[in-house]
Amino acid sequence: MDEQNITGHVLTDETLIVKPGKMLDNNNAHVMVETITSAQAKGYKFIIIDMAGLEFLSSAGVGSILGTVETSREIGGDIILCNVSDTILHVLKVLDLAGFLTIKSTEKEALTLCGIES
Amino acid sequence: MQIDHVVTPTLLVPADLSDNAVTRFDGRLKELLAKSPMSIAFDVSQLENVTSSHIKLLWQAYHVCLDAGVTMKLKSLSPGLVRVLKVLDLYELLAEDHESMRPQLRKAVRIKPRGVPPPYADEFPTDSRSIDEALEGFLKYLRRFTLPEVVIFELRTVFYEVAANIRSYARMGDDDIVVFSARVEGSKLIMVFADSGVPFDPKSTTVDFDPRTASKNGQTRGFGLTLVRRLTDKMSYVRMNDVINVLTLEKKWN
Repeated sequence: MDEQNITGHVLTDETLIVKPGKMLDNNNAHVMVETITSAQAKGYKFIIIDMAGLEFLSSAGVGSILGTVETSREIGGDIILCNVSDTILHVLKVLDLAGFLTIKSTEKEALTLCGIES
Repeated sequence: MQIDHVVTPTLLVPADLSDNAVTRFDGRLKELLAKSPMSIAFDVSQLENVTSSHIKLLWQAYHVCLDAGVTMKLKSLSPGLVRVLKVLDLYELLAEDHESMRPQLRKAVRIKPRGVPPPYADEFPTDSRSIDEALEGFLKYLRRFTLPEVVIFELRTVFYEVAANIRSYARMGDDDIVVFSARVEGSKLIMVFADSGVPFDPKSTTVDFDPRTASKNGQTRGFGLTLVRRLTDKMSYVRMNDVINVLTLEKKWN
């Protein structure tokens, strides 16, 4: 189980970066949902999910992002994925999500999208 | 010339799997193994209505015999049991006559890294730790083949999603298990999952999926079987004896 490994780090008043650890699956997807919805409730418009260390993404993990992204978009923000590995990207493509979710190659590109110059 | 007559001891496999019956069976098996026989015949004539618990008992007995270097032979198989073992891909492993092949040799064949790959089989309860362990075992099996990394990832995802789905929806008891088998045929893998949970045909789920609708509805669950259907080439489901769900999946590559 990897639920302890989901960490959040505040970048600005509007932007939070979340790192899910190695696994985002049925064991910890609810923690990701809570992390995101809690951040949205606190007014963070942009949530960057840095997937650099992510080795496995289950459908529940996908759902934790897909089911929460609309709330961010409704207030002019977004959930942005970055550092997505080829295999994780493959799963997103299989579910037709690669064009629907916002995916950036690097954290720097994600930050730029949020209006933050690193 | 003196001829030694080797008598194969016989052990009756009970249809009733109460704690007492299983304890008696285990005790009797231990007694027989202590005598170091070449083989033990398991009389399965009472297994007319086979459940996953019977399969679990046979599977565990198979491993106990294997570890003791004793050949397991099934005797008086009912057509129902033959059908269940064949559907689960366990017939060859458990029921075929391996008279000339000692278990140690069979074990060696099972871990042989090249040549015609043997089938893989496992059983596991549906708590998350057991699923993770079973997944690790399956991945080790897959690594014996020269498969593209993305195919291994897809198969890992398929295994995980099916097992997690059984865990979430089959309403299995703590003692219930999933019997899993896999075999490679050319450039395709056939996976079979069997469980004794509530009846559920995964083929009834849709492969259609609209991200916009799911997102607007705030849907966070329920994508697993869609993913499985999209990652596999063929899916079939049967409910056997009104007790066992058997899901067969086929995945091709190349």
